[in-house]
Amino acid sequence: MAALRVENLEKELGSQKTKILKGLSFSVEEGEFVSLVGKSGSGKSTLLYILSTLDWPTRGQVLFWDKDITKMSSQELHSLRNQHIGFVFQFHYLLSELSAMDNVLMPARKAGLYEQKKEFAEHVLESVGLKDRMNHKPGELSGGQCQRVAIARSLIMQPKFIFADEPTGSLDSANSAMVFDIFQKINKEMKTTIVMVTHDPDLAQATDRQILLSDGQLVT
Amino acid sequence: MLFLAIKHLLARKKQSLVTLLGIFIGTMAFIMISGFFGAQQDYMIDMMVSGDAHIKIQARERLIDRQEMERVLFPDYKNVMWDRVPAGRRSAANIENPRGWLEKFKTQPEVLAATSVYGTTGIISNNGKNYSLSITGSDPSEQIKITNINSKIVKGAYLDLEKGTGGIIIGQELANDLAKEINDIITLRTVDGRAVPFKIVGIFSNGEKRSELGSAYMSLTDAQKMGNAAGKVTQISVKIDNFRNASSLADQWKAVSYDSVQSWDQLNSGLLQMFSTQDMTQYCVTGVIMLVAGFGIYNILNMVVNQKRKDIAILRSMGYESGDIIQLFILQGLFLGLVGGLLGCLTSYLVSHAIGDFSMGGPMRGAKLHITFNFYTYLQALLISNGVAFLASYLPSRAASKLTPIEIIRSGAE
Repeated sequence: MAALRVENLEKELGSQKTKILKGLSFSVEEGEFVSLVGKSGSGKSTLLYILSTLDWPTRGQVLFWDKDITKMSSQELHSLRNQHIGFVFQFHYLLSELSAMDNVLMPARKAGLYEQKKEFAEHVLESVGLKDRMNHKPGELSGGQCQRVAIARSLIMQPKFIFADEPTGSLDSANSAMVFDIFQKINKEMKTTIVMVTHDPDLAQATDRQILLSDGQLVT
Repeated sequence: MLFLAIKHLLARKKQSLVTLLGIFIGTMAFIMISGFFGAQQDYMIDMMVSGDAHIKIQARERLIDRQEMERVLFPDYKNVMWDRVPAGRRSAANIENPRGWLEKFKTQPEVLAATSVYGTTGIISNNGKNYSLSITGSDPSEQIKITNINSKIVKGAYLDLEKGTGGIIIGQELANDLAKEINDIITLRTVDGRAVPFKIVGIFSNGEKRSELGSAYMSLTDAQKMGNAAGKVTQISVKIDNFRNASSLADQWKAVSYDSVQSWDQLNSGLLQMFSTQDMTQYCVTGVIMLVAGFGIYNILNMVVNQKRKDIAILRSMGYESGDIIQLFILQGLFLGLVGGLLGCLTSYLVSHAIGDFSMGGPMRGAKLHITFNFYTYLQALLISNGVAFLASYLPSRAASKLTPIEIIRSGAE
């Protein structure tokens, strides 16, 4: 059974009902590291947001372990996002008032696991090389460090999936390499399924599989 | 969400402090104005219920009736032509059966005291200046049960009016003006020009200049002699066990009598109406302050919602629900409302105590008032401040909760 399956997925946007995604079907196996690639406007970010339950398909199905997200209740969706999905965006989107540690623990707070997850949060921050920065606020960290905090946040609930939208897009090459290494480490050590949008062909080549989108359709 | 709400508030200390200040001032204004008006109203009501009778029975004033005149004067004529149609008020109204009323009260357990009263006017001249005195003649032992006049006596004793005839009690202000002391003799001129000497047996001071200059007390018989109205009674003063029941009791008695029966609140309806106006003013002033504070909260939270769009998006992506987002912003409003309200209550309490007794000045310059402490006013102030904070934060919170993460991400919020 595929961890994530997409069937005849379509997405229309705007009053003109412009078709962004045109009947996509594919699946992602558990523990796979997949990159979504394609030109700007090809629909890869829209696809990622639908896969990660942040957006809604116009038609078609998105199934997590054969359970269709379009048929899930709002409660089930919130729980799925909180327990099983981690997000990493192009910008880190950290809460500026909180320390790195508190940012990482935000999903755990929602799940009522703040105390239980403290030790793990330290471990995760250590694994992304920020042990000595855990009490720093985002304003006191570099862009690359913030993005690593965002990755640590996405890992705190030990999710089955991580969806990343150009996570290295705003970083220099050194930081990009470091962040990508972390993703590879997570994928290998924690068996986390990762779906990542990227423009960088080298990074895409380093993933298990590339899904190429062009004008809302799958090319490979 | 309380943790994040407090972090948000602390992150913008200046704005939070200004909003807090608005709520604090609004709460304090409400409590202080309520306390001040309350003190004034309590004093006035105390004057009405303790300084005067709870119920007054007076003869109904009758007007001259043309048809009644024609029936009496020209019973054999059908049509009477008048050069001037008879009109105007009949001669001084007196209660026809005062004894009947007093007997009736003996059987009424709610009546604590009652006395017949004869009210008249006397004039004192001193160095070319005339003082007009409103004289209350009554049974002294009943009068001290009906009003608190006995506690206002600063020299002499009210019950000395019972020791023989010709005794009078005057106000401190008048005594000062006349340079008279206890046991001195003053001469009053009656309305028909007679001069009657009286011995001052007591001096009262109730803090009201007008009353101390223009009121005097004597026994019923002496007043009737002054008014040349032996046996006549212009009023019956009654004190009952619970002054709040006065109007219903007065209505019951009125229904079975031709005399006019009025309770203290009916007699002072104008003044009580003024209290309602005062209450309205208080609510308006506080309302405006709270409205401004509410707008402050609304504006700040609205701004924060716009500034925190990306935070909302990321929280939603972590599984936080729309209810959590509402909670996040409402908690900030309620926190400001609660802290501002509590600080307002505490400061008002301390300031009220620090002010202590104060004088109203003017004609009530002798009255010492104290800002009223009323638990319900404090509770009301807290409820208002938190109500305003809740309402002002609800609208931005609701708007924030409706934002979906994808809308924010698509709009490129930084």
